[in-house]
Amino acid sequence: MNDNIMIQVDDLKKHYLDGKVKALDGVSVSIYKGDVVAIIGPSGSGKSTLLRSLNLLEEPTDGHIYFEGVDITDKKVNINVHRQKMGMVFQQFNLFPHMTVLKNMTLAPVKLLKISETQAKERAMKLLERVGLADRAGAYPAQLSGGQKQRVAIMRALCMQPTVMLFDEPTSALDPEMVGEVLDVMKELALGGMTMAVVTHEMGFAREVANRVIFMENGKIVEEGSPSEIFDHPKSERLQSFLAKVL
Amino acid sequence: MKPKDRKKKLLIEAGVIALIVVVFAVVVLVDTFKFKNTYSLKADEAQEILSQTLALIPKKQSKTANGIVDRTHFTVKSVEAGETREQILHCEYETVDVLGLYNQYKNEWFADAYAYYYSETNQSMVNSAKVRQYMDEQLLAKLDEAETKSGSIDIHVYELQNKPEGDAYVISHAGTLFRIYLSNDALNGVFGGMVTVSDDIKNTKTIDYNGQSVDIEKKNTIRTGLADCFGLNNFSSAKPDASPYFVSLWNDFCDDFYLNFIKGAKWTYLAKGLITTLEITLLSALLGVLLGFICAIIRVTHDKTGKMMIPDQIVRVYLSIIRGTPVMIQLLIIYFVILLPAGVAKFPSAVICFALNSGAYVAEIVRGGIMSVDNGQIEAGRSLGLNYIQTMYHIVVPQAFKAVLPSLANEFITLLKESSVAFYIGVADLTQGGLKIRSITYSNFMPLIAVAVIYFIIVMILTKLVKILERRLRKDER
Repeated sequence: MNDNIMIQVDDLKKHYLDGKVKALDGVSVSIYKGDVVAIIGPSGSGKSTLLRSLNLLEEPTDGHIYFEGVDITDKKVNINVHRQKMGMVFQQFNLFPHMTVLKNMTLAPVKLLKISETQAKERAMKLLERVGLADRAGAYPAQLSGGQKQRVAIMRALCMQPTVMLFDEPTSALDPEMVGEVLDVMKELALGGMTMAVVTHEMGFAREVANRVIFMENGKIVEEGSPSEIFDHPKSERLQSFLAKVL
Repeated sequence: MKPKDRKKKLLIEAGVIALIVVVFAVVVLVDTFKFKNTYSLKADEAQEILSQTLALIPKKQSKTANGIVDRTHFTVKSVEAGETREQILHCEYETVDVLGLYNQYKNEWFADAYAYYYSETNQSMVNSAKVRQYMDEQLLAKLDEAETKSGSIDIHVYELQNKPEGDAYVISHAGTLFRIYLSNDALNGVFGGMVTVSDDIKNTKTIDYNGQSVDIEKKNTIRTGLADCFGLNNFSSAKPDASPYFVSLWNDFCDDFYLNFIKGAKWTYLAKGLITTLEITLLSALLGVLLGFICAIIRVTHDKTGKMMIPDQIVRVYLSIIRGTPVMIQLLIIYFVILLPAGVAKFPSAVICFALNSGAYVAEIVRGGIMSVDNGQIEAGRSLGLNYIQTMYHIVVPQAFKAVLPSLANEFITLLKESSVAFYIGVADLTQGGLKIRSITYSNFMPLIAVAVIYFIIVMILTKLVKILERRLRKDER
């Protein structure tokens, strides 16, 4: 296997209701180190399911996922260890409402990476400073705006120092004026060389930041390529009509 | 709530209390006015009432008593109307000194009586009634020897609204009913000290019989004194309460209160019971919450992941049994069927029962709480690499706990009240304390109401605390 491959997805299937609903219908894709992969497509196309399958939040019905060379769909693999290296950002932020921003960020590193509380706090404060939220460290999630919440959620994932970041429609739940601040953080992350998989409706972001774009429909990858191939020279009719609607 | 609304609510509450106080005051005032003494006795009327009373006193009991009454003369010196419906008669009296006469002859009479019955029956058991009858006859025969003595007393005379049934000392005069009250001191003076001689004879233990002294064993002593002979013990010395209705109600209440709580320190039954109740409630609530959380987590884990099949089934059976049977039966079964044979004491048995009982209800409450925590929270925790238990412990349970805290507090309140069935296995809790007082004093009102009031106050305090807690939880994180 190629050493540069971060995640290798092999004929992944996710069926509901005894196969009547096929959320993923044989998806194969490779994500290389430093890749920024944007996954686009109409709703119900399976793009979120694919993303959530990558760290096994969705258990696939069939197929294999190799993360850093390990088949994490194997029942014997301790998925928790691998999830530590896969940061995930959710549409609804999913910050822990009963903890301060700082505590949100330091909980997992202290419990899992066996670093001291002080070290974790230092690391968290550095990250917060990077996104200009250091003064909000003691605040509770309910006291933050949507954009601030999502930035904290990204920093919480980064605090674990993951090798890949998964974004599940990170800007969909935000007010339009707050989308920019979140995308800026993601852009900076991408420029820093982070491997990212982003399910998004922000075509501008996909075009500008991603180096690869995947278009999905009905649980299948319809088209895959560089942003210019996908956005400027779409081959399939379905992609053409999709882009006509969203652009 | 806005501060303005709070102020308004407080004002209304104060208004309601003020209204109750005013109504009560008006009722008491009207009552007092209504029963104010309006009838003034004249001296000759008072004299007549007294002689009527004297005529009523001893008739059926003894001839001697009649002799004494015949020799007793009252002169009413003055009449004074009391504050309420009471008239106080200041009387001069002249009577015979029966006590002196009695003391002079008692040993002689008693020896005679004893000797008579001893010779008749050859037993040292004496028939006290017959001895008294004999002594009564002797006293009557000597009555003329008694010295005359005089003194003055106050006699209380009450106007009555209605004639109480079977009361011998109620006189009708000029269309008004009167009740005469003689204190023990008054009785004693007028009737020659006959009240104080009661129990006198039991001190006589050795008498001379045919030249030899004979010990009368204690059991053969005559326990009742002469006052019995003359029927004076039937004379009510209980001062009737002539106060207005509400005042006498209050007095009755105070008496009842004294009888049920103060006398013999009976309040300690309630105090100790309350402590036991609180101990049972607190201990079983703590155990119950622990048990409830464990059960809830097992159930949720099974629902969400399909794991823990067998524990889940066990928990389900436990929940349906506890929720499907009355707590009292559970208590009786746990104590008498299971724990008593195993040698477990009552108190721990009660704690175990209530812990098991509340655990089942807490489990359902907590399960609801955990289910109400957004699934995204679990996903966020798991995506960071935390395992299921860590996610539950650090993320889900704290949030669920906050969400269900008010319900848990209510469960605690329910438990406090339910713990009252502990008396079925003889745990001396608050309820048991009340019932114990009830069985001693035979009053229902005071002990039962007291128990209810104590439960109520504790529940009110807890409810208030829960409200404060809820408010603080809502303030958090905002």
